[in-house]
Amino acid sequence: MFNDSEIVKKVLEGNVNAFESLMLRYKDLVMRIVTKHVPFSEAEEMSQEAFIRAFQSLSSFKGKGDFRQWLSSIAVRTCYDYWRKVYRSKEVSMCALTEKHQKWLEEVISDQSDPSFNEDSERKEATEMLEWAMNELSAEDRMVVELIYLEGLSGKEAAELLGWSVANVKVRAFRSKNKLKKLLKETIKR
Amino acid sequence: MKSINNEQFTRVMKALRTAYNQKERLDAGDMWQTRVMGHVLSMGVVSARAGYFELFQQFVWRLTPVAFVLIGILSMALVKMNFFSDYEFTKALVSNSSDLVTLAMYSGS
Repeated sequence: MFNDSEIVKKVLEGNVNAFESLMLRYKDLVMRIVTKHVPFSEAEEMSQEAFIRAFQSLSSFKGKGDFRQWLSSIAVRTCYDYWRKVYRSKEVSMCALTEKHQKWLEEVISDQSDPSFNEDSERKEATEMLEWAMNELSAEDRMVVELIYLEGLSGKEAAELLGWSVANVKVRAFRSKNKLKKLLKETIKR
Repeated sequence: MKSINNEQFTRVMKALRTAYNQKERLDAGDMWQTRVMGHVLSMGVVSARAGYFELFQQFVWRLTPVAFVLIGILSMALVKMNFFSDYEFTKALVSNSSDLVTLAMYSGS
């Protein structure tokens, strides 16, 4: 059983087929990351894109580092690039909020218990609300909110994944949190 | 209800986090893997040389701001040293071959 660095070395020496064992090892990880950040219908393509990017930049992987972390970073940046492209081409689908969503929001705000979705309809409204809120943010803010507030990563961890400075991530996190707050306020006021 | 306080916002974020974590998972099958590997194989061998090129590119781009700062400093220094007027004066003297006496006087011969 070869470790990641040894497999990378083999691939760089010309044994391209060895890359498949890396794919087998990290397929689930990449899928998990990608499905969280991009629409479900795009997940397969983006996962493929992430592995192709990883293959293309394999020589920049420093053997001493953690391959898992390196690949996670590529997957996250692939998702970020996907959103940048979508926002640039203005293809973001804006789902309109209905009374149901508003009601859901008001219930969550007034309910003291932990949010758990007992019914499929509640889950659907929550998912749509999440999608709506994320679509209202920029590609950068979206990634920061997802990594920090929804996945619970630290500023440093998010910065490493995105390849940004910690200060940049922290400032963005603060601003995007305020943006979200403002959005929710406006939704309630409607 | 007209506003949202911090506690309420935290509660909404918690609900959204739950929805986020319950997102549908994708389980790519063998077909997907075969397709990706096919694509990878069609790209051929990745050599370490490509990495050097990438490193070179990164290095060059990182040096860009430094280069701009240096250009700025040098330009300012040249202006302060009155280099341009001296240069223009010398150029005018050299281009005017009839005034070789003045040139000789300035060049000290």
